[in-house]
Amino acid sequence: MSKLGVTLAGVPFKNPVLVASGTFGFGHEFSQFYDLSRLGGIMVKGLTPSRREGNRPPRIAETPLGMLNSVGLQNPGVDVFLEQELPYLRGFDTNIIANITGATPEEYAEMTEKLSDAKLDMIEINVSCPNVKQGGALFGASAEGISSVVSACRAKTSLPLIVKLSPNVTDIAEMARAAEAAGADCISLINTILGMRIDPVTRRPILGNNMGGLSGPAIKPVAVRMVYQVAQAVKLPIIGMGGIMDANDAMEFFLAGASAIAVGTANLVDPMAAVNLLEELRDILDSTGESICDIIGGVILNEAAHGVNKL
Amino acid sequence: MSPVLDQYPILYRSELRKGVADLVLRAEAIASIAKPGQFVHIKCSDELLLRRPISLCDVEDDTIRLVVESVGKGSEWLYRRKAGDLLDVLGPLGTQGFPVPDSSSKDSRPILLIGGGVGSAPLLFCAKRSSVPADAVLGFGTASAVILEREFAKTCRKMLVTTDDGSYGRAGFVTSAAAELLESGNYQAVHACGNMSMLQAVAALTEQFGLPCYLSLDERMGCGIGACLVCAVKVRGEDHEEHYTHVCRQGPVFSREEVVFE
Repeated sequence: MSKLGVTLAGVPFKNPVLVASGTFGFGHEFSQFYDLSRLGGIMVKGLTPSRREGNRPPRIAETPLGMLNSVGLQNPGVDVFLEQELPYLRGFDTNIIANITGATPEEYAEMTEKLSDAKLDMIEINVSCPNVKQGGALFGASAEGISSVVSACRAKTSLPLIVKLSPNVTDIAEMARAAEAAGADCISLINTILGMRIDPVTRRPILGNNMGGLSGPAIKPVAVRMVYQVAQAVKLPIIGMGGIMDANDAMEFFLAGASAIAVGTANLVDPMAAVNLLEELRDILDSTGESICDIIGGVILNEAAHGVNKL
Repeated sequence: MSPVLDQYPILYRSELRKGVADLVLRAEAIASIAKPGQFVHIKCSDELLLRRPISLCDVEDDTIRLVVESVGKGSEWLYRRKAGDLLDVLGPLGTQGFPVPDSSSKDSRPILLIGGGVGSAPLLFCAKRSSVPADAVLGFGTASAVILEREFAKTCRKMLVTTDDGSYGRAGFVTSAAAELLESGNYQAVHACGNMSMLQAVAALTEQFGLPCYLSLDERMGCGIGACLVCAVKVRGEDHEEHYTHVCRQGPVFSREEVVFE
């Protein structure tokens, strides 16, 4: 395997740089800027059983080193994806990962069954979208919710299942353990952190949906911490994400225990972000003489600061 | 034509009025393919995450011209740039600009341009590219807000300026001055850019006259290329059903029939 190659749940990735669901559409827009085959994988825009129009605008608000979004899973539905978008994506030499959200465990299961026969590499179960009333983060907020959705999907497919966890919980490790116990093959985290902005003049929230999901560099330390905690709690491979803008950001996630990373918000700022990061990462590995697998989970923890504790 | 992402230098910077900068960038790759109504997406410092969309005011040879009003953190940063500074620019963006008549057009009737405030800027590009005469009505809040008057006067056949408070030009909104021109002129279409309430009034006016009308819309934007789906606007499709589409990719210009005013 090359220096950059990784294997997640038995699926080989040519490199550990993926693009996060919801920031990359179905790839068309970015193929104007680079060959999508350069990516390790593409996590496509979140799919629902049928077409969704999404939330009322405004759907975006800038924050200090971040942004809130409340798109609300606008997508053409799983059938249109399979008929019109997947054939296009399969034209690239990269792993394609479908991302699904349902209102009930049954809806998740039905979508999983449909996608199971398609030429997909993995399915990412989204139990963490903060912008829809039904399903999504509702399931991701408790171990029982995660368990019910993951077991329902597990029964319908032999494709590797990724569970995308919500950071809006007290104990992320508990959520990861629930996913593992219910048959998940991989964990991705973090989805966005629920947030809100209010215009002091109009006294109204800026987002049409009032609240939205915070992403970007502002959430990176939270994401790194959660990846580290999940890596300690489960044996499953982890796809880390949350505010990754460059290769040094990515290194933090690998060191914390992620076997792959996904570029999200950075795609919105710079369409070349993911491949620029990949080249930087290659340079880092060249300079240290390591392969990516040497880095994963390699954080060197400080000993507890006894002096402070004594106080 | 695919958009380009690169660093481009500011060749000239002047002020159209206090708080409004006029920037000319050397950006041949953008200038060579840009069409009226399209915009560029600019990174405004490392401190601000998101790019800011700015309409193309004009394109000449290898340069693009941008009119920037300082209204927030991003636009204020851009407003303060100087000649010689490099800008990180993505563009031209938008697949549907103003359908301005070109040399292939058989209809020789004039077009009418209606602009509100800084929204007047992209209409100058329309006027310059139009193969038929263009008339313009530009509306501003007050005398000190008026911009680009001389240039529109040079490029357009007729030009009227209105101010809401009557401190310059005609008193009142653009629509009353536009109605006069529409009464007497035999226009083939109206192109407009401004705030949503102005655009709604223009839409109602042109419907009254049975004229095609094209409106440039604005919405808080993310990627600018159609991937993130945040800059949603409600439109009426060919099936007459209302649904959300996106300003950056399907717009920024929409026909009056498409736009759903809320």
